[in-house]
Amino acid sequence: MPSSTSSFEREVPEGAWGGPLLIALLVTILTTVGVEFWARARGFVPTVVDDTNLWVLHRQRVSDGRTSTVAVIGASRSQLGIMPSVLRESLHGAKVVQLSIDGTAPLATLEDLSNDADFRGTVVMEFNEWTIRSSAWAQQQPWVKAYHRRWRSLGALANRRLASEVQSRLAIFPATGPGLLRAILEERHLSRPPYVTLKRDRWRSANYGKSNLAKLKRWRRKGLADYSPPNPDWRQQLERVAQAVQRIESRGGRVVFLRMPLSGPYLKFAERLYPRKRFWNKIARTTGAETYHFQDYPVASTLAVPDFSHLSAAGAVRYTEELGRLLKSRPKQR
Amino acid sequence: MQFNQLVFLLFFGCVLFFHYVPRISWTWRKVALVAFSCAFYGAWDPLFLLLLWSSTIIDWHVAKRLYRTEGLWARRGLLGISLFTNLLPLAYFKYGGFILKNAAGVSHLFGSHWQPGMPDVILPAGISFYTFQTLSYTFDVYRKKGAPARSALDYAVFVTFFPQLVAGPIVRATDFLPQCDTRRQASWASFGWGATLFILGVFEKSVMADGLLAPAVDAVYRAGAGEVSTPDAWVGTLAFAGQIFCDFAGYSTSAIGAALCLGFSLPSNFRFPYASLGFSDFWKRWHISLSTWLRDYLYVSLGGNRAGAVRTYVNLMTTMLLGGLWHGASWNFVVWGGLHGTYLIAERWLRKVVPAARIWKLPITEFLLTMLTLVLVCFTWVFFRATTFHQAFSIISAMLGHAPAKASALLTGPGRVVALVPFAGLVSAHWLMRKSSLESVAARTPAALRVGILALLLILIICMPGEDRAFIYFQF
Repeated sequence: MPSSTSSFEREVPEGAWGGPLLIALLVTILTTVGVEFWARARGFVPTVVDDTNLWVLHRQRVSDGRTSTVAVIGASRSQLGIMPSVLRESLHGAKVVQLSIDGTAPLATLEDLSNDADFRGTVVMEFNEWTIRSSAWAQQQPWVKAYHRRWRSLGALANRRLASEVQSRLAIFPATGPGLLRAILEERHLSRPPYVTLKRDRWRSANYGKSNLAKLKRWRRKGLADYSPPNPDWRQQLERVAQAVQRIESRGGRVVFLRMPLSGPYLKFAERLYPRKRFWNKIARTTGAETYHFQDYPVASTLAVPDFSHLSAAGAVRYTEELGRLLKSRPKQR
Repeated sequence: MQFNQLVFLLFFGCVLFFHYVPRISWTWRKVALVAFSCAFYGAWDPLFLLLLWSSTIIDWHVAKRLYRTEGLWARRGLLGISLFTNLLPLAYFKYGGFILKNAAGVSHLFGSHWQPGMPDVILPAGISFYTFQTLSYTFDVYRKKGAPARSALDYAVFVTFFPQLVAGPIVRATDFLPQCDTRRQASWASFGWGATLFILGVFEKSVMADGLLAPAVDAVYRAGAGEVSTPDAWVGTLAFAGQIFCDFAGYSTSAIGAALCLGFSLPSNFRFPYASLGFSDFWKRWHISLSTWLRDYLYVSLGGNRAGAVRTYVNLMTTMLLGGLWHGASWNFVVWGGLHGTYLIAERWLRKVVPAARIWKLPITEFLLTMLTLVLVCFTWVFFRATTFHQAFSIISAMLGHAPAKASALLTGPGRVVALVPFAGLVSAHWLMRKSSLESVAARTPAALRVGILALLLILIICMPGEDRAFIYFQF
């Protein structure tokens, strides 16, 4: 029985196509190597693109049933300030996973970890009183949702894993791309290396020597306007945090809240709107978690905070080393 | 898994290895092809493989029975089974929320306060594409225009063939199944040309659509209604016209290229559509596999142009409205289809009433009419891209010069240049190549220039990728 009534073949243009393809591939490889050297000579270093899938890949690492595993959650301050590699070393090779997400409160992740029976480790959480509001529980929800759907996006996760391998080795990507085009057209010069780069372990390394610090500080001052005074439902939200903490501790886990170093107007803002006595000092009592305030520790209290809000890479090393010592020792406050 | 992702290169390398490794029979190579296609589709969501397979198995059996059955009602019953089992998942996954939302809206008109719970449904990738592909097979067997596939394996290769599975071209069984009869192998030249097409498609998607055009589109279409100035509305819409073409044609070109590397031929889906002279010409150049599907299985079934002018216009409009709805469960897509239906009817009527004259054949007249077609098409793209009617009308109003006084510039001068230069380049290329084909232009290109162009495309793909975005047509 014939399977159909017509046949169809595409036209292939005359001439050679295989040879030119191979030569073009060779030219591309040589050019890429050349651009890579050029990018590194201009100060560019490899940086991984941070996205939901990268977070999901790291999130699944903490559901291992081990009490030694450490999950770092928070926003940009903890992502820049806590180095998984340094903390791992301080904690004798324990698994340390950076799960902080830029610009978001980690409440949804805390609650998700508290509901995950396979997570029995330590949560180190950047805690900012001004983010404790009912709307903040939704901020990291898209990442949490993506994690629970991970078996339904295997291709994207496989691609993310592969892309991270490549991105963490080549400086060509941050040096070129639409950023280069924008810099040439808008600022009439080649793009400058970014002052923040993301490592494969999701630690963000800040080199303020590559930034326009005055401009950055001006921008940060403007950002203060987004922070608001305490919400009337602050206490109620804290109760929900306490419940999450209790769930983790009931499985043998541990929760540590950190006040990351601040300086300048950010520190003033925190002290004025959220006085320690009324807010921070009550957190440990209400939630039962350990609390570490940077002002109480010799290294953290003296670290430079170049843009008022985030540590540099050098500061992150020292801060993380001190954090490691604190986590190993008995908690100072309870 | 997308063509412009690294993981696809790894996947495709494995496919090529199994396809070309010696001492394996053609049957086993086809088995491997089906397995790889399932892996490709399952990489999105393994659960949706169930849908794909249920559609494949049912249509395979229905078509076999259809071919042997002579009674009219029995044949209609079998066709009904195929239609029902294919269109039900489509209706549920794609139109369920839309139907509920509109039913609630209608009930509110009668004083009801019914608020249906909206299902949290994820649309299976490419469901509209493979549903139309399997339906065309059943229709062809029903109409006795084609015979069933020789084997279930051949049919599975036809339905699941990964290059075109999720975003077309929508392939006809009569074009594809004969290719399954004997072992497919690309010659060295054919493989090289296939890889060239694949690279060209990825360039269109990653560099043109995502890297250069999408940022301007997002800036304009993410702004609130009433915040867009006249220049920004135009730049954003022209950029979207470029983005949607490069995104979709990029996918089709890559699909054709990947298939060619495996020795299979897929039909062309685009033929320089922004150089169309009128709207019937546009639909012969844009998403050709869908427009011919709609023509053959819907427009002709409705009676086509066989029952007088008015009925022809009604059939045209019905086809275009349903074609609009095929793209997505939103009234915006229906309006988009309705506008194209209106354009087609107006053009048909004008061709009747305006006398033929030499002036219409002059190059300058053709150029002006082509540009008029392009501008009118761009107005329809506003409905395609806008998320609400309100936003669409606000942008069209801004395009017509009625921008609100408070509208500030969303795009910088360089931002506009980055969007407009590629769009102008695209339209110029379409105009210059409108009477030829990519193959004929490629055949005239000297070998050294081929190397240069290919290397440039590859370097730009490495250096200029935009944000990692899904192909727009995956959502359809």
